Amino acid sequence: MLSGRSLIHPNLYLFHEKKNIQDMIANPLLNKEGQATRRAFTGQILAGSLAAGMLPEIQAASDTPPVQGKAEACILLWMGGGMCHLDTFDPKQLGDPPHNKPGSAYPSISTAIPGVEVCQHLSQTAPLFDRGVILRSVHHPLSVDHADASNFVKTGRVTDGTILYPSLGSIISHQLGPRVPDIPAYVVMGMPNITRGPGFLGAKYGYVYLTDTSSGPSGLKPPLDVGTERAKERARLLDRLRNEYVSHGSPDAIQDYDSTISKAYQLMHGDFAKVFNLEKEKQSLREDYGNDFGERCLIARRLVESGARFVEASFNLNFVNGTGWDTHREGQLKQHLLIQGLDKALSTLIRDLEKRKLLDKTLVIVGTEFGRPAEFDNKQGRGHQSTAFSFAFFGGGLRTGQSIGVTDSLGKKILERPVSIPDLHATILAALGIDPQEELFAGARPVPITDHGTPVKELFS
Amino acid sequence: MLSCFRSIYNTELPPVSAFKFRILSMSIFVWLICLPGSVRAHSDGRWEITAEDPQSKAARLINVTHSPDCPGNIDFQEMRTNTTSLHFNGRTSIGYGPAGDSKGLDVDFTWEGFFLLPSSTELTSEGGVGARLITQFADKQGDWTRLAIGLSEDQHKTPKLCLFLSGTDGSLTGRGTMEVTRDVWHHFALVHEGTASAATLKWYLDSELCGTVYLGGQENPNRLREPGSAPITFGARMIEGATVNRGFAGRMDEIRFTPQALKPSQLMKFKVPALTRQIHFEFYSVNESTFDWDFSKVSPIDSLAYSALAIPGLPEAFSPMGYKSGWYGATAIRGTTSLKLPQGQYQLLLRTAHPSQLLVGGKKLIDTRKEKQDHSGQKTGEYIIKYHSDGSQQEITVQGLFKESTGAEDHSEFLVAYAPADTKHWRLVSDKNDLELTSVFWKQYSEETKRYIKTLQDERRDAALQRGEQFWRNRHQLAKQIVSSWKVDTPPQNSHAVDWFLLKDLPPHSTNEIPDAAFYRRLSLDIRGRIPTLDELETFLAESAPDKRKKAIDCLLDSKEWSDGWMGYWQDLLAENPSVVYPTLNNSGAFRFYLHRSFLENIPFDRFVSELILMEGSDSSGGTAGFGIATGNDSPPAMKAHVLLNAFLGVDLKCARCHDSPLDQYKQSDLFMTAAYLNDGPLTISAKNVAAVGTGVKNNSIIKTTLHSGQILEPDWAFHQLSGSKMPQKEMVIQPGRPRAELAARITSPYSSRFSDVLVNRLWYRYFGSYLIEDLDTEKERPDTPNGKLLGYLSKSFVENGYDLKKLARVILTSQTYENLISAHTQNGSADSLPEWYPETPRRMTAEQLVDSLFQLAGKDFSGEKLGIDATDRGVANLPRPERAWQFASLPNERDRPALGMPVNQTIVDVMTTFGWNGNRQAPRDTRNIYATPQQPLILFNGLLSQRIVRLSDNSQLTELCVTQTSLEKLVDQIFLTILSRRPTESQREILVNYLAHSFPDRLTGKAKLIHPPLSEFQPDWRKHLEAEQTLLMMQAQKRVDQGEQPTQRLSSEFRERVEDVVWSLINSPEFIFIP
Repeated sequence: MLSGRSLIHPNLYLFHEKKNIQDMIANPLLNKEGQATRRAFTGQILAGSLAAGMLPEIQAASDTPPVQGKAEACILLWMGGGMCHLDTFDPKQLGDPPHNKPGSAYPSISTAIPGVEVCQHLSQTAPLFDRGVILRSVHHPLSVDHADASNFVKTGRVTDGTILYPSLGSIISHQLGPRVPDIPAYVVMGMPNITRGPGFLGAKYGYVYLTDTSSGPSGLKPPLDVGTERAKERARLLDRLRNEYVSHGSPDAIQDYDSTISKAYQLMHGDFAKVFNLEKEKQSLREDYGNDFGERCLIARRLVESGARFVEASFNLNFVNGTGWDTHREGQLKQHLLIQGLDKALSTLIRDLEKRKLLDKTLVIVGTEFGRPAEFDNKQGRGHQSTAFSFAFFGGGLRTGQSIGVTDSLGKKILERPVSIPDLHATILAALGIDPQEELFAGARPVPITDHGTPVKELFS
Repeated sequence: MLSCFRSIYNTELPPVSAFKFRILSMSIFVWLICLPGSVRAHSDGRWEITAEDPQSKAARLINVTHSPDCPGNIDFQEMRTNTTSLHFNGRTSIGYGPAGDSKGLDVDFTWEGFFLLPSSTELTSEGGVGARLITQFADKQGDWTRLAIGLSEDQHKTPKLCLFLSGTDGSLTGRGTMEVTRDVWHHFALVHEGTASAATLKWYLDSELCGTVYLGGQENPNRLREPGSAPITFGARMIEGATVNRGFAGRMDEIRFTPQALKPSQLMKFKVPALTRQIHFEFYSVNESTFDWDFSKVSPIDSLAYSALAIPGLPEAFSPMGYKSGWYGATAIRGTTSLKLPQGQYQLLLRTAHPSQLLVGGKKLIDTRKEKQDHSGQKTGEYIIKYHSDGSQQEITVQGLFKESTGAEDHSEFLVAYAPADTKHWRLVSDKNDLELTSVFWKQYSEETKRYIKTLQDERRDAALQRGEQFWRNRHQLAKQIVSSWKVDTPPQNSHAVDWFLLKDLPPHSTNEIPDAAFYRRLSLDIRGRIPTLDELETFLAESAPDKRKKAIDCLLDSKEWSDGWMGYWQDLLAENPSVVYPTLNNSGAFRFYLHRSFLENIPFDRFVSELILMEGSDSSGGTAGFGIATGNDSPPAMKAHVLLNAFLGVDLKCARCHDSPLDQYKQSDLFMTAAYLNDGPLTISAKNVAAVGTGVKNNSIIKTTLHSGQILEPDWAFHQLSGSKMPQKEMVIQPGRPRAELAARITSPYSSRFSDVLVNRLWYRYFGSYLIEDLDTEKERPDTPNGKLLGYLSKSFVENGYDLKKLARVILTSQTYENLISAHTQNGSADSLPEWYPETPRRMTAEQLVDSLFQLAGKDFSGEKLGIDATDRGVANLPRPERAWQFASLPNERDRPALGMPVNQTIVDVMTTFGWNGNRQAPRDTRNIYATPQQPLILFNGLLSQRIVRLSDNSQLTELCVTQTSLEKLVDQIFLTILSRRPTESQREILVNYLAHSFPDRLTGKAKLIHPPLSEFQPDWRKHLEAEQTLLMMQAQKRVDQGEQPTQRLSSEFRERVEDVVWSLINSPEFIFIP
């Protein structure tokens, strides 16, 4: 292989594993004849095209009129670590962890969708599913590594080393721009990383991120020791320097940079900075949202309200059970607290958006990089599973109150209506009124906006 | 000799407390002792300060004792009676008056010696040099320390060797980056080269360069003058016979003065201690997953002798051509000796961080592979068993499997020791079993052993290099012959090539004279990647020599930072992408170490490229094999072929990666045949490599693939039109017959000018922000334009000069075109009449330049976290704490886990990312598109990093300026020079002086300087990162980072805040980020 002594290097094992994983894409779903391909294969990246090929029942995209949703904004609640679909949105027979009987860890309860149940710890969200959709047949081939899988779910592509693919948030900001000038189009509440990045679209379509809801993004507010007066003095000094350095005859690059200084002042003193001041929110509402993750959801609503386009709120209650949603071993023991935390914040967010008449124009997504298997490990936790897992959508002007896709009795295999990651992307883009057939350009190279995904048309009326 | 070694550690060095006591008891006697008898002149012009008369006051006071342990190159057996080491207690001083015939120190000289810093000595980081080793050149008035070399701690309490220079106006401190290990001997050297009007000062630790300071100019206050009446002193600083200030507390030996500027190779060498080395360890390169621990089936790749059954980390490994390729990785190691202990009960200790076994008399007593591991795969490291000796001699063997060491250094211990039952008197197993295992001893043993191994390795490396040199000399000779047929225009003698080609046809007024200061700022950014320091700039401005710009160019080209300046560009271009957590997403190995060293040593460029393509050595700790890694990629060879062809031949095969290119003539097979070379043999196409046929852009298909799954491609060359159709002859292939070497020869072939054209074009881009020839493909016929001709000329001379990158850079940088052209666009509104190669737009600092410059102007260190999470066995990169911006990598955030956070690093990486840097280099990048976004000024306005830069804390050099400068006008000028590398305009000076005038007179509070603890002591740890407590610790650290360093109390808060406002406005001015 390529690296010198690489046959004995752990990296390479991974590499071999990946190869095998990709081989596995030709998976059980592809019928024996393998001729799932009346649909035009349009993949440039094989993983994607094969994934798309798993959908025999979908017609070729060009045969159907394009679906166009009307949502204006999107909130992605990201359950990093791999949220177990069996313990949340796709409950099955009750398992018995100590005796290693596979199944869900908790009993289930009914929802607003007739015949569709969810985990009992989602009791506040369950009645709201007339405003929601459960996608139970999401799948992809990468179940080993979190970063790999997150990257695939967020960008819809595997990495090939020639171009850097943009994430969903960046694609949407690129396509739609900010809803309100001076409000950043794409905001992340979570750690900055490549899976959230703008890829070849460039820094312009990157995100503003924050990890601390009370102070907002780093750099937005002046340091504590710089009061109003001092800030004014500073601005005065700076303006003198700018005026002497920049003139009308200055090259564009200098004038451009100088004009962003003015924009930066607007960001600091405009509506965006006010988003992070929660003092004006009712105490009871803040309590309904809950701490930490709830606060992120509240900020997400405030961001959308003031004009953000795409907001990602990363679930940050990892400390509750030690592992977050990555519930290997002991991580499973307190998983119910995570689910309850999600339930509280999510249900409040939906009701709050609805009350403010924002729910129809805001697509709320509960997503994760993969699910987890029905079996338990030796410490009663769970491993990874990407052959079938769940997403949930709320609002966004979709045809809600339905559940898409069916998995087998242990939530392992998809029995009906598989939804690939490119399909998921196409659905989200379509919900926001973006044509999933669109092309982006990486330099001179045309890149389809999704890896030939097709929207889940049942969600569009 | 072993007994001697033993006596050093067991007898001579007293317990720490006793040692302290002795020092304290003497501290009241403080004297200047000028010792005429202590200076010995050698016939070769050296002087040595050596023995003191034990009867003299001096000797009694400073407690001279014989120190046969000094590791220098005087054979202490011979010199035993004369050689001593001097004990210093921190207030002791010895002085050396200049010899009568001294020409003064307006000439070249070298001071050097050995020193030992005991654990008991406390250091501070105060005032640059805490503990002085030598303090030199008290001037005629006798009250100024002119130049000192000594020790201080950095923020992490690591001792470092520093240089401190002060004149009548201002002072300068330079801290080395290499760590001084306590309790072991080190060598220091201070080398002055030049005259009072222009000189360099270099200081070395263990013969490695720590730093360079440039002095010069009649007006320069820092220039060295002849020493006056006061002597040069060692230890503490002395004024009129009394020592003042904290001096060195420890020992010195073999101090030597040489009236020449010695090269590193001429400095005194460490003597390899005459330990018996009779215990052999054998090193086997094995496949770590299939190795079955049967050593009879494998043969060693190396065998090295040690003094005990103990090795302090793995030896370095070198490529066959002599370049460091990392550490021995994935190595099985076995050491054997005989163990003979008197009859009785004992314990045996095995200390190891790797799967290991201990066998005595053929019987397996310890097998750590069976020991329980915790969930992260970490082992506890110490294994103790009971052992009964019947008094007979037994064979004892220790063997282990060292996985690829992932850090830059592996300090892990691998040793066997024994102790009588129920005691803790551990001794290493050695041939005499007399080496006591104490922490001081182990440190010493490690250092000595590493030094010994290094000497051995250096010899091997030199031999290998020598072999390599020969090959490359021949090859360059051949290349020179080949390119003699290239037809290029040659400029007349005495003209500058670049200017002759370009300037003569330019319309009038299209160039402008650039002021000295702006020139120096540009030059410093272009070569070293940072703005100049105040001292550098003032020195340069004060210089009056007409050729001072050329001198400055040479000086900077020679600086170590030349390679720092190049790193980001090549990391981008070669997609260097190491992972600190877990290699996925197209991660490569950390071949940055190789890149850096190559530029440092200015390796001929064809050689650099060839070594990269050979992909040898360690793939994670510095070899070029790391370039070959592409985790998670369906075809690393194809990915790397794409990188190489783009970087060195300027061919973009992005499309051909997956299908035939619809944009140009390249087919997918062209790329995969090249990839087969990298595969060192036929490459089988897999289904994943081939995009489905009939796919395409929107509704129709212009995309075609001509490869099919299962197809086997032989290495073959598809780019004849670029690199010439002639395969370079055998003499030009570094390893004839090997596909990778053939590819290297193809790419670097002198049968076409493409390789050198691309390089010249890239260099031009670095210095002008635009290519000399925008599109080499369409212009390959070499149009009859000035720039086309210049490219041809430079390209040819690049080959003729043996592919010397620095020489090429020098030609470009010394031109009038470079000096004057770039600034022109700021004045010239209309660019209509200018040629198309004329740089259109001013260049902005890169993200790395910005960050390095910001820290430079504040005089602060990053003080960030180590770029590692201490995970083992995961193939991750454990990178050292960054000291320059290029050393960052993407932070371990992909999992969104707070406890893997690096709060300080994050503040720096945030700024870099906002300004166009990307640590995840999944794909190669030629250029960075810098859009101006509001986040850029925003993060410089208010971000945590700029708060740190602006904050006048006691570790800011700006604070120091404010405290010491007595003239407000001068202070304003110095702040301007420090930040914008120019003096303020009249009106700017007036505004700032007015802004500060009110609070200036009462600015000094008389309060003490604060010592700053590290900003954050949190370090993510893979093993613990899921524990809730780690998240809390990280959050606490984050809080401290948010607060930043405490402001100084030496300045009134009103004045301090106002200066901070000024600094803030200067770093936020657009002028700061644009290169003049």
